[in-house]
Amino acid sequence: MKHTLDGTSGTLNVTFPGDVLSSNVETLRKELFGLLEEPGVKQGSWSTLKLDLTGAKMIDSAGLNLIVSVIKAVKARGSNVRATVGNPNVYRTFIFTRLDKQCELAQAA
Amino acid sequence: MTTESGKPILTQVTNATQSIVGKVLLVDDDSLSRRLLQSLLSRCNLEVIACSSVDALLKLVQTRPLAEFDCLVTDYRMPDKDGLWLLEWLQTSDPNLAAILVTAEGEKELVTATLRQGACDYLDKPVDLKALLAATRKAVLLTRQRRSQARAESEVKAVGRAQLQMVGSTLDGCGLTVDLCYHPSHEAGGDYFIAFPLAAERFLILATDVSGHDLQAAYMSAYFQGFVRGMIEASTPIETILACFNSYLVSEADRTLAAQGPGAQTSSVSVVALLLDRAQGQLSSISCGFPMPLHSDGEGGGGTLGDLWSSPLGWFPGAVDSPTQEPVRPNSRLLLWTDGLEDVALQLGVTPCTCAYKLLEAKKEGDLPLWMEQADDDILVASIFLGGQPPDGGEFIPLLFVKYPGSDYGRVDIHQDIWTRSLGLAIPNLPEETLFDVLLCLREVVINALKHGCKGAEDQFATLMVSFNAVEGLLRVVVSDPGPGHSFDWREHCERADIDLIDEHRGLMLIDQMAQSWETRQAGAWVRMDFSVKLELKAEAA
Repeated sequence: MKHTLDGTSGTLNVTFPGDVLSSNVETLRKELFGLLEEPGVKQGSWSTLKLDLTGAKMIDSAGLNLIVSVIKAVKARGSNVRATVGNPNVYRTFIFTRLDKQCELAQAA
Repeated sequence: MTTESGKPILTQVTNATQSIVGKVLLVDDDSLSRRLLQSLLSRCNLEVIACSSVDALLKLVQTRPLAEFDCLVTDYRMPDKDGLWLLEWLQTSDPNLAAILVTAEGEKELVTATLRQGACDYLDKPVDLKALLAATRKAVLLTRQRRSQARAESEVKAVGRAQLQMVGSTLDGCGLTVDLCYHPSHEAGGDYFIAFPLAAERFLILATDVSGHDLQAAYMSAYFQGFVRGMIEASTPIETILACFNSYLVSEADRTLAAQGPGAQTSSVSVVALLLDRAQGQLSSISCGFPMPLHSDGEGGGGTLGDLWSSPLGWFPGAVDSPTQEPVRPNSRLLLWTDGLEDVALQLGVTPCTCAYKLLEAKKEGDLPLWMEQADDDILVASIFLGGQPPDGGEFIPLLFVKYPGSDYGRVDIHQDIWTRSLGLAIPNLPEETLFDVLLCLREVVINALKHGCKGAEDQFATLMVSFNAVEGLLRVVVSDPGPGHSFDWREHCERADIDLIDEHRGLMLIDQMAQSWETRQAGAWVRMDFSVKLELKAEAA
């Protein structure tokens, strides 16, 4: 999972390597929350977490639950989340579970 | 007459032919050469019919068929039709008759063409007598070998044709609706299927797979079918019949092993016997080493007949269990296949049920899927409607069926790959969006069944069946587990997940949105989901 912290735009960019499924979600959870706890990130001046999910062809409920946890954690620090997906079916998955109401959702061209 | 070595030529001739008896057809326009060759061959017990030209030979064979001869010896250079023309003609008239071409010095380039035309050998002029007789002997033996092989092949094909006629021959007018596909890997095989009425509304259905897929297997299969039918006519219970045949095979195997040693080949028979009592709505089944048939209720649910694999007939004494019974619904259907199909399914990475579905669909179109070329065993697939007549509104035909132990929870990605390939094989024009929805919902329900219903235990099993109703354009998924389920209000769960942003229950939200309809029974231990594919299929057809 790659990440960059852009202090100028106040953005923390996190790129998921591929699908977010029950089979890999715990690894991704540890990695992502480990990142959010890093001092540089935790105390950083970012206000938006950008989740790049364009590499995902499927996100199951366990994966969606991870996204929910992240949204809650980010909201708790007064920041917001923007998720970008590539696959139209993954986009539908977000809509169906109403996560588009909880974060800014964009579909990459 | 002597040779350069000083030995009498006839001694050499006799040695060369080793007293072979045969009939030689000789063609040579040179009378001196013809008489010399005829004389020498005749002195070696070979009967020689000589012709002075190809046309003379063509006239001769109008009254004396080529099958009468064991060898053709022909000169190459002759007026009108030459030796190569004759060899070409021979290829279509009797390709089994071996021929020797006699060429003059300097005609070496002919050799390649000669051999290409199927000649057994060639000889240079002047002909070395020893070489002539050795070549003749070789040609006579080759002709006999080829004809013997051709006769054997013809007999095997005849057995195969007879078997193809016999497999399923009892189905017409038997009172059952059966779709059958039989594909022997060779000319004849050991798989067999019969179904016939025993009385009003009572039927015996029998499918067998004899070990091996050759003539011996075909013979054993036919013997077994005759044995069963004869004893059924004598009102012998099917379990008694199977036990008798098991005893016979076991004792035969013991005898063979005692005589030929532990490596000797013995026969075994995998069989499933089904007794259908339509009036009582009961199905009794006994399986001995046969892949467990799939019993579909016609509404998308069902399971295998039995849970435990049993050994085939011929392995152990007392291999025949008592029949198991289960109720038959009005739209029940049985799907059964021999283990050859399971090997193909494994190669394709799909479920055997998927291959069976696709094979029967292709059979209706008079086609055979290309992947069947991978089959290296006999394959028999049968789909039997157990009610009176299949419903006009279509029925749900299973196209994917699997059972997973709870401990397979961590292998769901592997299973999902198999579902993907299976659905792609069964319904190639399934729209990508529908496929995605089916796979994601399947994943959600199966994970829940393995994790919670089976509690991750390796001795608790969840079943998954995907069926397709082509008339209604519905793909139906049914997943069940042995757990108690748990009662809950799923709508309330979804609302909480949405409003309170809790990190669970999103699987339910997905199913509710993606499936056209869904329902649960047994407090969620049984889940049915329907997905509409009708419009997409129509669009595809358009």
